[in-house]
Amino acid sequence: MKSKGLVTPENLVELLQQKNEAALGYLYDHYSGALYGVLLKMLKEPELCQDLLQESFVKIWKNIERFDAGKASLYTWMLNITRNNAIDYIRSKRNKNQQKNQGIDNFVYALESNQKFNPQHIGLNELVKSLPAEQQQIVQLSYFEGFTQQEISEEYDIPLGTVKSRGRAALQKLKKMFNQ
Amino acid sequence: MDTKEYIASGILEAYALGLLAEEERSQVEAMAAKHPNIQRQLQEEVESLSTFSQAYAVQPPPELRDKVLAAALKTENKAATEPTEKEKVQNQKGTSPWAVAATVLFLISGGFNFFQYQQSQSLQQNLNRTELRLAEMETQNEVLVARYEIMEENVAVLTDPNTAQFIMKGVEGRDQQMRADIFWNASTETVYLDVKNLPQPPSDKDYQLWALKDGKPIDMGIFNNLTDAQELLKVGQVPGADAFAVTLEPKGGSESPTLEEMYVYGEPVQV
Repeated sequence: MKSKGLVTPENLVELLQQKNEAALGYLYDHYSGALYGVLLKMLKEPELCQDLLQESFVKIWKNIERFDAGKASLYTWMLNITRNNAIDYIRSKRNKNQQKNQGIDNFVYALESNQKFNPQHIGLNELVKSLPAEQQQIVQLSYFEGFTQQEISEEYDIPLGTVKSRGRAALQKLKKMFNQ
Repeated sequence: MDTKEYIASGILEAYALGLLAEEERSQVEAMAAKHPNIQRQLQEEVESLSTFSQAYAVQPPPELRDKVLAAALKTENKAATEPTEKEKVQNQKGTSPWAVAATVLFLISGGFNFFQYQQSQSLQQNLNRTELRLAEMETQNEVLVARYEIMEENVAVLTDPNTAQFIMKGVEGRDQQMRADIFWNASTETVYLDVKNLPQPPSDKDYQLWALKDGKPIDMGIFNNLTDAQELLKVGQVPGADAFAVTLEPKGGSESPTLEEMYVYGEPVQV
């Protein structure tokens, strides 16, 4: 049976796995903002992030059969592909010692439009900002810049145990916020 | 292994954050595959971070949509079905207001940022100028205070009834306009020199001041910089003197005065 009607969150995965083009459009419209935002947070340069976003969507579309709803949400699965893509890029660049710090943080605006697919996250930014600075730093370095705890400890001269405990505290706090 | 203990160790959080190196990652994945409760917990951590990541959502430029979709469809499109007209219309309807909103918001906030940036730049410049001015004035003030203290001391010395004045004038054979005064305070036994008119010494020579007591010269030190002649120069202490004299000596001064090179000489002024 081919669905001719609306693409909905409920039939999205099924349609995607049938390679339904409208479902791909739906996927892009609903998730590109969140993924692009993460890319910008990781790499700052808009053009590069747009290229990586395209690459990630190609991979997502190609591998959609492998998505297992029992293991992760669709967004998390897509986010993993996108982040891994970006981390590969960052790592290859870091190895070449070419990472330029371009201050384009101004481009990173959280737009209300993305919250339509997850309305309970209005005000998320405020919640995140309430994390202590040293915990935010660990999240930034690990989640958005692809540093391992060993690398953070060495490069930022923070004891390994402290890196671990800060990361853990940050996640526990985030979880608490989201589960309220 | 106790799975509760494993979960409590914090390694799942580290995994979710991407803190673990490759080897540890695979270990966690293996544990999760074996133990459903670890799997569940791990998923919870990862999902929390996904949710968190949405805080940073930014709409990509609207023109990117067609590019990305075309690139995706090009790779593999055998099973794809053409979207119906209804779906097409719906997609367009779904996208464009948000794209417009995104663009407008982007422009507004970009403009606002630029405005704020300019404002803060100009405030910063003002602040820098003010700080610089303040530093200049502080330096000026220090100089003036130091000058004032010297003047005050000079006035105190000059008006003190215990201060005796010696007017040293050009000796025989020298220009009679040469003059240097000595003020000697009896209570502090301090000697002050006030050079009124002496020629600048050659660079290989220094002037040397002598106090004469009972016919014996006492070395009171050398001087050669006559530019600050308006101020009294505190030159040292002596218990008492019958007269003062200045001679020109080789650089660094001499142990006893070279009498042929005496320039000025003076005895106390009788009040």
